[in-house]
Amino acid sequence: MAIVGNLDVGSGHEKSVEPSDGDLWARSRTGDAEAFGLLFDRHARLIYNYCFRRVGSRETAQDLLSMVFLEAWRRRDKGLPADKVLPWLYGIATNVVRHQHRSERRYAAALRRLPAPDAQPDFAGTSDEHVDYERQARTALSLLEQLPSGEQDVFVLCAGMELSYEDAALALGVPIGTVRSRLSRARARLMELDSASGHKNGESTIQEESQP
Amino acid sequence: MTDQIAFPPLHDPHPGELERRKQHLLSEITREPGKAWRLLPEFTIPRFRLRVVVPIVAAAALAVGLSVAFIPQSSTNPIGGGGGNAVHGLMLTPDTGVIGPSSVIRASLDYQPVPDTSASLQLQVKRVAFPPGTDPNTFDPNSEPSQVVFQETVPMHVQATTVTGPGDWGYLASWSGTLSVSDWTGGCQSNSIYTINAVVLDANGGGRGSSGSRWLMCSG
Repeated sequence: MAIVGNLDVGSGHEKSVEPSDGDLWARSRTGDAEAFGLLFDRHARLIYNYCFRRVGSRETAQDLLSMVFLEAWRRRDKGLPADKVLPWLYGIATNVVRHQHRSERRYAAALRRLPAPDAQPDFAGTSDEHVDYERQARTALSLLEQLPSGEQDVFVLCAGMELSYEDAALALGVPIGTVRSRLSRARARLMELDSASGHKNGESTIQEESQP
Repeated sequence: MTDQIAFPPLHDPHPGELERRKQHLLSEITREPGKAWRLLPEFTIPRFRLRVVVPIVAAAALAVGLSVAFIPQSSTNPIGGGGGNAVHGLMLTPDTGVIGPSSVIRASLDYQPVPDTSASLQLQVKRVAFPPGTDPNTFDPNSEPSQVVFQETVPMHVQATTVTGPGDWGYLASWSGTLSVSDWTGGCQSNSIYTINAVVLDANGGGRGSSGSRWLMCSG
């Protein structure tokens, strides 16, 4: 399955004047909320999708998204290499998902202050589409949950969100070798599970594709 | 060849949701830092119990605030001592002196003066283990070696004030946040006691004052 990994950042000209993640992060560290808002614009969609793939619920993923960025702001003293802001956000998201209840307690007050959404028409087609996404995510999760949590993290980051081994290692705070071995074990285990269940159903939940 | 679970495709949340979340995020992070008593129920009480617990907690927080408004610490330039115009030292909520493995402690500190608009706070949690056979009631932790089990440097909110200090530094540095015991190395160990130290650093990393908590016992 092909997964598009990054948001469109505009034309080449716009790109050349756009501040880098590193610049925005440096400004955020001094308390610049506007710069932090630009980082949100840039990475929120990916972080939301990562959370969605970890929990299988659109509503929960949206709340997790808020918690991830609130947590990132709380930890803004962290010095980061210029191109590692997104992997670091993935790391925070991984912890927020893993310790979801603790995060919910920590940010319960902030989430209660979230204004109610404007009433908007929810077109039937869009709604059906999202129901399908949630069903698909839950099917994936039912397989993932049979792996140790460390392997789940690595698999979703590397196979689901297409992070490099290096970035996944940074996100999870583990050596690159650990990422490789966990991913290898996760893949082997998933293939076993797939062959066990797929042969019964005649339908495979594991997709295979050629690596470029 | 690679294999993948069939993840759902990347998609957007509800229409307008990202913008709504962004505006909420910005409003949250630009909120004026509140006092501990105002934030206490927001950080510690599950939503479904709010109506029952808030009045009790508010009364308890008020009592704690009145009794522990000022905690002088031993250091070369203690916050809360006579060395400057410190507003108050490190305040913990709850401040029962007892922590558990899943405790979340609300902490805050105000300090004045700082020389410019940039200041940070170095937080450090130290653990002292009881030597085998020691009576905890007669144990003097200051005579035993300590181990740092958590350390973090966080930016402080600095604002101009009408009260000036040495060199007319009219800046007040404030910080409030939470400390989760589960983040500490080794968690909460029943054979040890803990203390939280906070050092106010100026823009050059120079220490301007320090403050610390009482010794905290681990329960459970």
